[in-house]
Amino acid sequence: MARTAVEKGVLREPSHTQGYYSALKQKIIVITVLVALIPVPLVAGSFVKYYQTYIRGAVIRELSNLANNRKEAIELFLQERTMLLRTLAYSHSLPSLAEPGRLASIHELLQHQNAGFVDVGIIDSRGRHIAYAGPYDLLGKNYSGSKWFQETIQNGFHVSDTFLGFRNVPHMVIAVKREEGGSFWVLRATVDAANFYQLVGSARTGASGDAFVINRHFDFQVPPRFMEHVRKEPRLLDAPLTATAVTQYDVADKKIFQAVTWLNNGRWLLVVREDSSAEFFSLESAKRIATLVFIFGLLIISATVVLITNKLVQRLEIHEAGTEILHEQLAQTTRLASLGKFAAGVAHEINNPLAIIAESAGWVGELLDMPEEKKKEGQEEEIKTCLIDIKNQVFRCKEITQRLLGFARKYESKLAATDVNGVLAEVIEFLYKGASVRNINIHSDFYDNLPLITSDMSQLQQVFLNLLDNALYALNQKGGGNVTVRTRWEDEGVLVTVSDDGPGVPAAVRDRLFDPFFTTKPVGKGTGLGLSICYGIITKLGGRLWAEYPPEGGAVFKIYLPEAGPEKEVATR
Amino acid sequence: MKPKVLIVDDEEKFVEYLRKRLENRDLAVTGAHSGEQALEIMAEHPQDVVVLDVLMPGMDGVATLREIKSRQPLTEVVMLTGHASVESAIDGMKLGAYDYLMKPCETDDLVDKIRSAHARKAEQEERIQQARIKELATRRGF
Repeated sequence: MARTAVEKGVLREPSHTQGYYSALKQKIIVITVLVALIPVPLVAGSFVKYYQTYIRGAVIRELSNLANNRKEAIELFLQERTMLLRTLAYSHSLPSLAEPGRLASIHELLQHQNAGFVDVGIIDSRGRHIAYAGPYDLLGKNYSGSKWFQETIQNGFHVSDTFLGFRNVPHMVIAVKREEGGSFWVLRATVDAANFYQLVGSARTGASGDAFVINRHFDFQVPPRFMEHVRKEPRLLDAPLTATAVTQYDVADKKIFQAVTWLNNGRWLLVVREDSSAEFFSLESAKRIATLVFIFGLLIISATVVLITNKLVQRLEIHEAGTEILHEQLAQTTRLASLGKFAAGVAHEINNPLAIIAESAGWVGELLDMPEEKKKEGQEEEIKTCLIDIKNQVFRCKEITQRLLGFARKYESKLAATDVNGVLAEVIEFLYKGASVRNINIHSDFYDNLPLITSDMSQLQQVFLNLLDNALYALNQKGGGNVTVRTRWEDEGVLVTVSDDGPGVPAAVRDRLFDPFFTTKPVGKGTGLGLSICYGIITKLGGRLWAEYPPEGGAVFKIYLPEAGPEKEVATR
Repeated sequence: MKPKVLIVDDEEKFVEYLRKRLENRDLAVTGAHSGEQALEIMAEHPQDVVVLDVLMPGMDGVATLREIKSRQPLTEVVMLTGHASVESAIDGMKLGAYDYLMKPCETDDLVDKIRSAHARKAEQEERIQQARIKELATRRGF
């Protein structure tokens, strides 16, 4: 296994801030609510649209039928009266009609028909009223200049606009032309327009429905029920001559539909107006219910989503806090483990001088116990030498214990001006002996006068120990080698490089190098947390830790530490 | 005849004092400061018992043991070890070391081990001797 020493892993990033969680919460809530609610108005909207179109179509059809029906009735009314007069005119000659009493008897006959004929008269080709039967004295009047007379001559018949007669009753005049013996005469009758009014009035539906007839000058032929229903819009006259046109306009919250159709050869316009709000009422109430349901749904969904998201994020927070604590504990454990390991190393180192002391002291005892005859010259000198050796070994022990004490004492975390070279030198001194016994040389290549940086000495110590320990482990597998520790001043910070000429890191495991619990060491030998914790520490100190793999082999770990230290005060362990 | 003992340790002072004390106990002692040196000495002067430090620069204890056992299988080896390298000592036992002791050790214990190691070696040699005689006798048809 290559580069077995490497303990890989990334200590978790420092726990997420409150801001992160509330942003996450907001995101989840907004997205969920939107996704849940967007289809509702879309579906409701399309149903409303469809229903509205359907109702509108029905209303327009109905109104247009009503208008057509009235138009036919009115046209029939006018035609009937015109036909009656024409029949009269063509069934009599002028002299027979002009006979005294003849016209009066016809007038009487017509009144029996209940067709609303008020009077009847004959006008000759020069426009003179030559015979008359009726309540007024119109005999002798000359109509030759009148428009209706001219029109009758031209068209063969004439239906006049309505007018209020002497008794303030609406009337209209119907005239037909009779050609006789190279000349012509005109039969003229006044018709009570009450029937006409009634025909129009029957198109007035409901409380606010209206129907009226205007001519092209907006003069009322049949006045409306309510004057405010009349809109004197010139475009009203643009309606097609042959068909019935329906338009919709909304007044306040009322849905008004208006059908227009031409009558009397395009001279009169029948306007039928209807308030169809009632037809749309069910739609409106459906809309209101849908809106209520939507708002209710919005509240319920929002509340549910908020509740669930809160719960979820809360659990996530608790979970992450737990993980954080776990990692703290693991880091602490690893820290103690490495301290214990180095303590064991130191104990081992002390054994050598102790063994020398034991043997030396033992030898002194043996020399003193020796029988007189065996004693040699200079025995006292030898005892003295032994004692000096013992003293020397004791100082050697003291040196080792002091080194350990000094090392352990610094396991107190705080940010301070730190001499990276100093920390490295201490760590190297600590490992040097153990390394050289294993045929590993540690080379130091320190940058002179390296500026102090703001950092945590004890945590740096742990990181350097870990990296060097990894390197030593790797080289021990190989049976020896070289480790180079280099410091440089770059980009306002310290760049520490720990490189070895060991077996390197296999490409397959490089991605997982810094993952927690990833190790290539045999079971029970490594926790897989070393590099993960180093990564965490360096990140917390505001620096970066990464690995490089030179093509010629070996492994290179680099640490960059900014002069300013971590951006903000971090809670150090 | 005095048992021949070779002490191998990179701590020169340790070798020096231990040699003196073992000599004082009627043992013929030689000192070596590395595995390589020990093998050189043994090539010329075969030894009965080797006291071998496990942790040494260069050729370490286990490697030296392996070499000794392949060259002179009857030579008994007592390993000396610190706390941290007990496992290496156990490895050594698997490779045929007679026993191990933790440093610093009581000299009397060490001497006991050396003597019993030597006794075993002598016994082994005796048995080999007997086997040879038997073999010779068989061959001659007694």
